Amino acid sequence: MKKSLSNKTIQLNYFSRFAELTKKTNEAWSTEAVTVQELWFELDEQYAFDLDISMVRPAVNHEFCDWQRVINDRDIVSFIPPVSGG
Amino acid sequence: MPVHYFELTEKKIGRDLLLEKFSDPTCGAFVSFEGWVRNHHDNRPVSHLYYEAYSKLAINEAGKILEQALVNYGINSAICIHRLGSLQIGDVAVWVGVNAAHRDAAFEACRFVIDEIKSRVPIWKKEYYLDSTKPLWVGSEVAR
Repeated sequence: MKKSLSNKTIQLNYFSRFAELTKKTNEAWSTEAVTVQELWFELDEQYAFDLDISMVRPAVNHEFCDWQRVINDRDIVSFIPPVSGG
Repeated sequence: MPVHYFELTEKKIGRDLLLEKFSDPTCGAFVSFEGWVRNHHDNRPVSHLYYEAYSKLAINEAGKILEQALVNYGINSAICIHRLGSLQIGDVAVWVGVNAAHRDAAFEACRFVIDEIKSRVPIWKKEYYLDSTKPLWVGSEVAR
């Protein structure tokens, strides 16, 4: 991935089916994506997630956020598949 | 003063100890809900469950739910404990307790808390079956 001024390194955390699919619970990721939505599509290219974006919620720094949330360097980002507690 | 508390635990939920936390002479009502591990789902025989969570986000989100319950229903206390790890049939997976001056608020708040916990808090349940069906993460069966 090319380096540029807009390049950020973030931490990705994976849970449940996404941890199984990526075979990872976390990883450092270098990206030029501006929003979490752009990041989702970038990761989808890499991992071919088996859920549509409409079934997933993004979270940054341990809080849910909207898909237009801007990503900053060193953010902790997760994509939350449908929950099933209880 | 109203209090709320949420915990994720790998240990068995001890309801007797939890009940002691609700002793309050201003409260005339206590309502609890327990979610138990069931031996079937969608006509398939379930052998056991495995729960995992995104702990930091779960604690943040559950705290907001309990806070909302206190504000919206005027209850005195709300506590929710959720199990993680491997659970067997009949185990208590989730426990919710609320107390209030009167029963209407306690019933409604308890229902609100368990419904919101199930729909918003990042906890995932994997079901294991007695038949040859592959284990499944519940809630995202409709893959694209």
